[in-house]
Amino acid sequence: MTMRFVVRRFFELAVVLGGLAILIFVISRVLPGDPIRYALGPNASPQQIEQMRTEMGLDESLPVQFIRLVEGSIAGNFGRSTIPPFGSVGIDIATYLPASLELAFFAMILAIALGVPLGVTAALYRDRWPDQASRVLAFSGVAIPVFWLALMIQLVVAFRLGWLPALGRIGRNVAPPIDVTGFYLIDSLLAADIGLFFHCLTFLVLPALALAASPLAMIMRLVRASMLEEMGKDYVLTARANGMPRVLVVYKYMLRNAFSATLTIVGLLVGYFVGSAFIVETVFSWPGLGRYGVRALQFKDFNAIVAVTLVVGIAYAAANTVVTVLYGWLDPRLRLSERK
Amino acid sequence: MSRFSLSRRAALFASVALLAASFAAPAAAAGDPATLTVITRLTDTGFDPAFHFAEFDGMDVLNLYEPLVYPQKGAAPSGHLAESWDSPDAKVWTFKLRKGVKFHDGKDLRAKDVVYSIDRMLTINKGYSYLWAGLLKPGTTTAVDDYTVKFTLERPFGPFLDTIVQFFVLNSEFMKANTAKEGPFGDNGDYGTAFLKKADAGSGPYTLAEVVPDSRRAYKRFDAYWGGWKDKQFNRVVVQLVGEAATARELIAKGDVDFVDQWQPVEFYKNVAKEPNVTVPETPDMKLYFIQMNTQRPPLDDINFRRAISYAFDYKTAVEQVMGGAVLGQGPIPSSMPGFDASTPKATTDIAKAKEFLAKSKYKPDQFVLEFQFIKAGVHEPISLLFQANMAQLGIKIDIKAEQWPVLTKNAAKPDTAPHFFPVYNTAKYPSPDAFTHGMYHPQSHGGWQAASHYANPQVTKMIDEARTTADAAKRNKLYADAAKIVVDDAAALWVAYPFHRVAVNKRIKNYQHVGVMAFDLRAYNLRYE
Repeated sequence: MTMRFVVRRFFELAVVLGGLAILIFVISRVLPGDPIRYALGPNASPQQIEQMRTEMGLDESLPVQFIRLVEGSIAGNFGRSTIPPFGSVGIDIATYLPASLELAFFAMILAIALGVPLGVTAALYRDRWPDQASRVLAFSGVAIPVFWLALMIQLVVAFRLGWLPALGRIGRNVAPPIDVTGFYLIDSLLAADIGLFFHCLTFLVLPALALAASPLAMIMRLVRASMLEEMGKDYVLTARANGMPRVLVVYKYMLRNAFSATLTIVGLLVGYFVGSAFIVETVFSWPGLGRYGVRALQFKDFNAIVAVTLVVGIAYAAANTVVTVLYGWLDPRLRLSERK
Repeated sequence: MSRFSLSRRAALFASVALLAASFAAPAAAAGDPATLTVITRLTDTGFDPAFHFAEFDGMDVLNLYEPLVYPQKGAAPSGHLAESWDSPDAKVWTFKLRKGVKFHDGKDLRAKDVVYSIDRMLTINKGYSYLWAGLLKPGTTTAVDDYTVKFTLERPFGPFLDTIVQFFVLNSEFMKANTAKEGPFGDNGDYGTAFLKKADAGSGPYTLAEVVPDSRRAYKRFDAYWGGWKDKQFNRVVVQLVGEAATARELIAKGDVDFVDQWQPVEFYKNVAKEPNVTVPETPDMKLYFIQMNTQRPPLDDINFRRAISYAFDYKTAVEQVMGGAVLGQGPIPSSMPGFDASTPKATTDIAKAKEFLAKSKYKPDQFVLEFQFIKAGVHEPISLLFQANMAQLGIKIDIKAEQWPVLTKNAAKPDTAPHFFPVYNTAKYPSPDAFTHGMYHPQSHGGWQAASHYANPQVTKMIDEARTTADAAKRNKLYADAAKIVVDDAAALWVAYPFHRVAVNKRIKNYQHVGVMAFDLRAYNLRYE
């Protein structure tokens, strides 16, 4: 893979993020409403309101505000929140992002770990009961609204059966691990506390399952379709005719070829998981970026809106850039076309 | 793949699942009976008394810090950190502090701490500091001796004692040791604001034990609390954020939590009241639900048009059906507030009278389409639909529109942008009719969303001003009540109801008492368990 190919992809990423920053800054400023009045309560005096506008830099011109935002974003500090206690948005993002990423990664692992083998099975047993069952599962996964699914999973598995905890990242009477990465699973391992690791894992399962349902269905159907396409190819027939074991043909050769389409979806899903977790986070009281973003929108917290959008945008763009680079690595035709 | 390997993998998976489930078990257990678990849907906002003005951070502040005086339902505040006070002219207020009060680091609470705390609050100029805007300046409060503190106001202010229920005392030495030098407050740096996001500096019955942002917080009992500890009081309090009403219902029904605060829908409390282990105390609140009328915008600048609307609204349906029960409104001052006058006319539906007033109006009913803007939460939407249907009987067209809260507060700030109708709640932040008269119908309050009527009547303004400078509480409250009666006669709003305060409480919890001032019923020290 040429360095030029990779550099070009990252240059495109910078342009996309710059455009996103301008767009979201303008949108956040033209949204109707005044966050300062909310922030200071119902009876705030005009003098209080003016003081806070100055403190927040909202009395500056829009270009100056934008330059400050860009400077702050590069430094990882997105200014101050307009929601009490008016803390640094950068610190807020650093606080809530690990929870969302942990949930997103776990949900993605679930979606791939279940979606790929189910898709392969459905293809291998085409039009037989495993295929029909997976079809029902896939349609349900895509069609059922995530808020309903999340509530049902919580109601049945947590409240009725009592198998797994219903909400939060950790038990009410259990102290969180020492904060190193913000990922409870990693931090509990760093603290060499296996019990706490499994304890935290139990809290991840239900929200991750609810979040993974729709992507799992998509992956399953995509793998099935790609596998069926591969099945009809000559190399499969040749391999089978030469006595190669079916497992080897399926998982080593067919799946590898069929996986490139799935890789596209997986790239997009990284952004989906980070950006779409707010419903699941609300139902399971998961203290992540999604809930923070919703609150920012409700109360027009300018800086928080911009920061959350940029973070989600970065997740989408970075994942797609990585997928594009991987494509180039997997498929020489793509990177060679860059030279022309 | 062989059957053997498949079954081995299944067994392995099942083992891991069982192992994981076994670690989950402690989280679901009810746990220690001396732990109180409260759930709320409100977001946490830190532990700084200079910033708080909502119920949820009110609960934190109330358990970790203490005020000089404590509100009493239907009565004047009682002494708390202050044992006695004196103010012959309502301008200079002298408080004698209780001796033997310890901060959480073991240091004694002294007058210098009170001085530091009020100066800090006024300098930061957020949260409840608006209560003393133009009345009290930083640097004017002095420590007469270690246990006597003197507040000198700019002018006499009768309800001062009522308002300082929202002033909480911090440990000045501890705060100074934890103040960042860089910050917006000059020599005071950041005034310790960063420190108080994850810590406390109070003398309250509990200290902050743990914070998981946007998820939960825990307090533990402060053994050296000056009030002492009795049997069956809670050693630990856990506050958990739960966004979904369905989740909250399951948790309280199963006995996994002890207390659900007042921010759930009415149906939630009606449903959980049927659970055998749950009780739902219903108390008339020091709270008002009212539909503000913008008295500056045509046709509502005509008193007859406003009166017609007041008589056309179906209060009974609103109170009984939509709100699930409440005390029918009788003007702006809630019925459980000191100073409420029972002779104030009750909200009445009378279509004949409504038509009579409409006929007297200089405007015709179909001349305008009137804006009714509300936040899409609680009872506002069904009330808006009921209002629209009621007004149709008079031929008045109502355009109902749900808006986001920052939009509504911005619109409400000016008479030319405030909608014709804007329904809101007003909860008592201090136990005085001042908030329900000066805070809503005095020109000084215009710009706030509880003053969206933009009402101005020189006679009312004068009476409220006089009330505010009156030291005698009985005379002061009479002036407020008389002013409120004029506002009612002027039909500045539809004072629909004084809603019930509802919370869901596990029956093992005893001594729950509703105070009426926002969050003061959430003081865990007052509660006991069985």
